[in-house]
Amino acid sequence: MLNKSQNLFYPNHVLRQVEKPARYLGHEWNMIDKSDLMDHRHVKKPMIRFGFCFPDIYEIGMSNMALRIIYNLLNSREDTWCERIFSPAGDMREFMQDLDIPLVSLESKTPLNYFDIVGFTLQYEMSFPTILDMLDLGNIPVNNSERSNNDPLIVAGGPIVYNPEPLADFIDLFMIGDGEELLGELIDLYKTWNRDHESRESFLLRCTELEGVYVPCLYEPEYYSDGRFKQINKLHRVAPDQIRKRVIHDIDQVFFPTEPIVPSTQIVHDRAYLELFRGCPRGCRFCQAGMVYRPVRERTVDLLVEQAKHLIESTGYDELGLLSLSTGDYSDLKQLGNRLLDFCTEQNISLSLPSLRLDSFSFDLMSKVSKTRKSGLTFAPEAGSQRLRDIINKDITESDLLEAARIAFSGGWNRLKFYFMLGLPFENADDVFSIPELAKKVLQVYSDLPSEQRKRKPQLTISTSFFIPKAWTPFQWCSQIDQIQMLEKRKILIENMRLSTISYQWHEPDLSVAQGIIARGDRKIGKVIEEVWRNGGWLESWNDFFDYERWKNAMSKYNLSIDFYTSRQRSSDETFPWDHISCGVSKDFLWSEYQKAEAGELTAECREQCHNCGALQFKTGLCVSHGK
Amino acid sequence: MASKQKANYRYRLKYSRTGVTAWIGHLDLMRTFQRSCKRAKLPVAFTEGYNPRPIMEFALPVGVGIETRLDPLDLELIEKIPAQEIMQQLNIKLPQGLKIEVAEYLEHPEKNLMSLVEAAAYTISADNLGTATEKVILSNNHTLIVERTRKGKIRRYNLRELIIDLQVVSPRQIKLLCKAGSIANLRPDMLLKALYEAREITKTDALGAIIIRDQVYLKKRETKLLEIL
Repeated sequence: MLNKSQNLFYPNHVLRQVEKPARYLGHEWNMIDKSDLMDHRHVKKPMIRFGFCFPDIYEIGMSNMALRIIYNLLNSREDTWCERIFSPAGDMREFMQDLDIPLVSLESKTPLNYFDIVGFTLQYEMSFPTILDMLDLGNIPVNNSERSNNDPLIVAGGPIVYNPEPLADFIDLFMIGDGEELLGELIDLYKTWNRDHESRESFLLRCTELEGVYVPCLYEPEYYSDGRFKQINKLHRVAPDQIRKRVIHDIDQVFFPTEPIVPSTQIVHDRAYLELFRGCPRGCRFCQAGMVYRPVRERTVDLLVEQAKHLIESTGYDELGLLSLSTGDYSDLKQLGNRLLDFCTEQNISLSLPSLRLDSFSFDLMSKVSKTRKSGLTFAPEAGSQRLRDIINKDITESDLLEAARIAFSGGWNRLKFYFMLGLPFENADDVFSIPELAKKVLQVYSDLPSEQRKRKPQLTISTSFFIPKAWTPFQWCSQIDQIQMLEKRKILIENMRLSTISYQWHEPDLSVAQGIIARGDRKIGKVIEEVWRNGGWLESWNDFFDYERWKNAMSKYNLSIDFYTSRQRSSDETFPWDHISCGVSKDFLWSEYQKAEAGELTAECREQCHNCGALQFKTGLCVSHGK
Repeated sequence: MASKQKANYRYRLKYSRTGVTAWIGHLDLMRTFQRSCKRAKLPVAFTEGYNPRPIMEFALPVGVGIETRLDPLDLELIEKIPAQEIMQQLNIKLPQGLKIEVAEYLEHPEKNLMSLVEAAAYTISADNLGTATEKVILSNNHTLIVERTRKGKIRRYNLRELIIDLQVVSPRQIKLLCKAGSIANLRPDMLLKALYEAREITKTDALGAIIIRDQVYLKKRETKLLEIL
């Protein structure tokens, strides 16, 4: 390696007093340093400086696949240097505020406001206050209306960009859908912006020429007197009526990072990852990702195996993970599994499998993977009763589950984890009771095994989250249960699962309500997010930092009702604040899915039958290979 | 298939760490070395059993924020490779700031490198450090007790018993030779703590000190320690 000078930037005494200083220092293996290709005045070579912001701390952000993809994708361009910026943890944040240290990138320690473009990835709603905090720590005005021509262009994209309205006051430009192509187009266009001669507004207007770009300041929402959203009004005639998401057509050809950064300090998901496919054929009705990532586009086995080899060679990781929305649905899992297994065994690498389909092949694969280490297995039935699983279109039967448990126990896996949601639409008391009943049936499976197969005492973990209706799902019309109902349901589970062999984990009701407000929020919620942040809420996605009082107070300050956003059942003809963003799936399809849910009817997965959801318009992936 | 015969080849490497890599914790440093070996495609030997781990032993854990110059590290391979080649290959694949300075093949391998550690030498710089050391430590013979809380328990150390040699190089720099290893170990931050508790340097200066571990001395194989004593 060239011995470039390393800039610690932070004083030693600060680094000695913060937890894990390596979070802030960069210079990890595979980090990209283009400082020798430019000088600070851009004289040597014009270089677009892109600051990729992840609104959470290093260990979380570095685990994220979008970051890995975009970082290496943008840096593959000669004219761009993409650097990383994370939120500081509490200890470092205090030092930064006391000592007037701005938020800087890990690579060159450049303050956020010196970048050309600052991009945020939107992964979960509760990170929104952190976005404001990072802008502020980086000396950028949080409101887009207050930015001058010298401030960076603030962009955002990611899985939850499909309802961008709560962030409309803060983000200059949203990118809807797959970012790989759009980001490049945006940078090309950015290079034509002469800040001395063209206003920010004029440039933003030109950005709307790119398909998938949503510039919120070109629109103004209109509401009914009761607070419901009426329509979005264009402030400029060239602004598109609807913004359709971008889709990568050839997933085998698109850039994939085989030389990702290897962190010097342990991160949450500290392994190399393959992305098997985008989209999901299942169509679970609560799942936003399953709707907005359509159509399913798979990578070929040959390419994946080649990428795996390259990844291990370049990183030295000893663990390889498979990423997708439902790995068990990869069409040639058998071949892929066997070929990866051969490679991993040879290289002393452990292959980590996410929750798989519950068939025998998956178990066969798993037993080969973990010859010695039998770590826990995870299942996600989501609902306790068959009735409710039919309503949410989760295609798993109780006998599937019990059979899977039997194979697991007899194979020596004693720790099983089950994920459920409480408060799903049409849920009744019996559905809630069926969760502990199912847990007990699983334990019974163990007791019924012949003694020689009962290897280790079973340990079940039952984990519940509270259902939050999301935009662009068949349940976007539904009521979210309130805290009182949440606590009642949780109590039923606690009281009925007091067994040493079951441990019960749950999500916080208050946090679920706050998340619900944002998930289906309109532009008015932006003021609430700002108020929460101004009152000290900067890392609200963390239980330790979250404070529901701040949300309650902010809502009442702006005369907004929490129930209006969360527990209110929307009528079939309601216009939503996100209707002008299009993920390709039609509102009619979502409504028909909602009606089928009400009737308890299943919808077969995409490979069996096309249901005309609308994703066919992209003319790619499963839609064309299995199309009618 | 676990094969019975096992003839591993043991090497002793000495690494320096500077710049950003000085701020990696010990466990993370071990992981970084393991991954670097994998990138360098070295035929590293693994332990047997449930959780096979690369056979790699560090002489002495190094605190966060401390640079090293020649810290020993033993590595076992399943093939015999010239030590210089290991050093070259590894240096290409180590993150910037980590470097193997010396590598030798051990004809008579000793297990448990940590138990061989006897002493360590440090160079420490901070504002007023030399002056304060002279005043608080060198000009008198008082016992120097420092308390350290570890896992909720308060332990008291008499620093004088742990110092082998201490020299003031300049008003802001000292050289320290002290006991190290699992039986008696002086951490440089304990010395700095004694000085700021005596109010001879500020806490901020103490915490901001530049600390370099120049050497780790091992029993038997190293003769330098005897020379110094």
